Amino acid sequence: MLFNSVAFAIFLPIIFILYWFLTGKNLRIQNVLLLISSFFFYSYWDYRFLLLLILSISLDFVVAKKIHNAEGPKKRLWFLTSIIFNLAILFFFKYFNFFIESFSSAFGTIGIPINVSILNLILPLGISFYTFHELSYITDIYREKVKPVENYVDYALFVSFFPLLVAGPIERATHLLPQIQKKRYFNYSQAVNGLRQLLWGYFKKVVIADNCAEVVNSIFNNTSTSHTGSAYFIGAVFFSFQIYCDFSGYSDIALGTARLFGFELLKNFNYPYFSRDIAEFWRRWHISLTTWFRDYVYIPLGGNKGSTWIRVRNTFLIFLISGFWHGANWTFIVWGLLNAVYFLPLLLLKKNRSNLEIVAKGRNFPTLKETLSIIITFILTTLAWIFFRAENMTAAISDISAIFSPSLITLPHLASFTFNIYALDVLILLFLLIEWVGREQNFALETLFVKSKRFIRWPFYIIIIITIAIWSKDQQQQFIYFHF
Amino acid sequence: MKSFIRSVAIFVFLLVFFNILGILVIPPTAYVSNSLLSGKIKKDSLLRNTPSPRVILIGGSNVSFGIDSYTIKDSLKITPVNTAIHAGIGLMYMLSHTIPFVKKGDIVIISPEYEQYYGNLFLGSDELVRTIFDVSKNDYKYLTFDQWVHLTPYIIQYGYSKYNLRNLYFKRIPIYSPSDSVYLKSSFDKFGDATVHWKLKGITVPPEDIKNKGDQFNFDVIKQLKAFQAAAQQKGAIVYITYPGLQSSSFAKSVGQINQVSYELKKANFKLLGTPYQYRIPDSLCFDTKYHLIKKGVDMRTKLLIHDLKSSLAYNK
Repeated sequence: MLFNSVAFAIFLPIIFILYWFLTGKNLRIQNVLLLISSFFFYSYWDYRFLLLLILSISLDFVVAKKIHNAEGPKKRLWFLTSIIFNLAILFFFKYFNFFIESFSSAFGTIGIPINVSILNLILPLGISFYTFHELSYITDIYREKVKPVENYVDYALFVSFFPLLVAGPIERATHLLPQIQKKRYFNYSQAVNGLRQLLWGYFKKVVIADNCAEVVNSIFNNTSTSHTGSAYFIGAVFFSFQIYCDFSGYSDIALGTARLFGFELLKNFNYPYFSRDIAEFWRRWHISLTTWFRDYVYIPLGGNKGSTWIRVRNTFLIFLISGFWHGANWTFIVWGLLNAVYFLPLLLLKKNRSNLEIVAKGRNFPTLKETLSIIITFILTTLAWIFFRAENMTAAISDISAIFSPSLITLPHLASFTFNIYALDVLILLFLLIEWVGREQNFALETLFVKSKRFIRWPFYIIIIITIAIWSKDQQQQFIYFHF
Repeated sequence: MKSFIRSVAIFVFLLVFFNILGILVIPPTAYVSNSLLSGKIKKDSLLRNTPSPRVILIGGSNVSFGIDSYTIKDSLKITPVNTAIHAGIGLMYMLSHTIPFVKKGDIVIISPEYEQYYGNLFLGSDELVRTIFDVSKNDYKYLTFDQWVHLTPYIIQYGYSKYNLRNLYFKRIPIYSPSDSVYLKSSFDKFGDATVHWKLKGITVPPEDIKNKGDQFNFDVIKQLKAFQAAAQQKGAIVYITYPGLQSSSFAKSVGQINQVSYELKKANFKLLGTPYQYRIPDSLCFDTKYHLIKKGVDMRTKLLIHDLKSSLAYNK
């Protein structure tokens, strides 16, 4: 079930009413209801994936207890068993074909042809996300940071809670499990805040991301029309907005939905395009994944401790794994490595933690230096996104070459686009303005007009809803991160 | 909790109020009266006033932008009525709206876009809603319950579209200058063919799939076609189904789905004109979409259709 579908528009109010009115506010019944709803939500795509999810949950539920109860080498053995099992499932579904093809191609180039057949596998939805949920739980049990959950329903809900099941945020046992196990009361301001965040998420997804996608696809998918370098650059900039609004829009909808049920999920985005350097960008982009890698890979590898070489190695390794996590394609690996290259000078000059606060905090406008830093960071990120979007390396290199051609400094032929690019530009500027105004909040609409009278506040929300309705596409648009 | 529910209820009420206001009270922009969809009024008049026997052409824009009715008339000595406007109107409405006009001796040729056979496009989309609310309010009676359910999101969107400042303050960047009037009702000639674009050059059209990802073959389309055939035959008309003229590169992308369409139509024993392969149109003969043809493409397709129709009529004599 997609968040931007009619089915979800029916599903959510029904579950909300059942949850607060018919469960007698009994925690056990509420959790069972949320679990059944989550399984229904997930199996709405394909019930076969649900079986894999339940198998994965059940095994980790049992193994977590084994890890907790065992001592010494046995404890380590159970831990490794679980890690290998989880990663094996992930690798099988997500990376098997990639490795087979890469090996075959590598042997082919040295003159040893290998005929291997790839498998016709369907990637189970959200597998990268729920596997990382479970890995964090198992690792925290092993590190004795948390105790294993006694109740199966609680653990299953931790892994499969429907707002975060298919595309995160990647939760931690220490953060979400206590909320699942604690009695929840309806909180008016939390619920209203949830609705505001839902609204902003839908605006980002339906108005900005989906319409930017139309521009981007018309440029990058249309190989039969020769676009200028400037058109490709515009396409890349639009893709930057598309991917941000698509994924952060999803995260806002997820967080907003969870709030309606009394949960606070981890923040996933913190205005990344207002970052002044790449290190700041990565502290503000897909925060739940970045911090996951920091806590479960980077720090165990030595983190910032040790020689410069160790730090550089760890940084490259993290970006490499992060790229690979997104998908079995060299384009993601190059995207990750390119970000590592961007990051390297900051690391070597020890400036990777120089911009910890949001830009222009307490001020209305950034300084000239801040503005230039934001623009440079945005351009660097945009160039990296080209690899992220491309089907393969050949396409990525072709797109990059097209951008850096002499036609970069010519006017694009806008008449060859069949959409209203000017109106979309205005909407993007309005969106950026609202994000800028709300940049010190959890999400842009959190406090905007909140203290105003209802007759000012509500028309503002109604205008946003009407804009969403007007700009929505006939065909339901999937979220990009569903593919990961 | 009570105050939350009350606030949400009032807010939803306001949303519904503004939506209904948009649907029923706020008039459409002036553009609508000249739009392609408004061409329906003229086409209905042709259906009402052209004496039988006639060739009635039904379909989406593959028919409106892909047939030369004058050549058909010249060749068959029967007057064609091209009822087609846009695929988004949906095959179901096209059929249910046309059947009352069908008379004894008419030859009805249905040429649905391949998209009509997959998913739910045959129930209609935004264009059908606009046709009903902006052009021909009385036609609501042709819509079934399933169609109303399917069209609900489009109706909501339609209601809010009346508040669209974009239409007032932003100019859509046209591929063709407005004076070309390709997508205006004035594009339709006396038979209902869109002809204004015949004098214009085509653009490069990227190949497209003929269905959206995940859409399955919809067997209800076959049922609807069967029902239409039965009703038309009862009135003494002959019903043929043919294939749209489709850009070759798009054809190659979706050959499996196209074969399935052909297979299901044959299995249902419809009178078919030609095969999908015959109606592949070279990319260079497309105008601005995979189904819209420049004059050379229109001529090519029309000749094929005439040939297939003549053969079939001779065979059935």
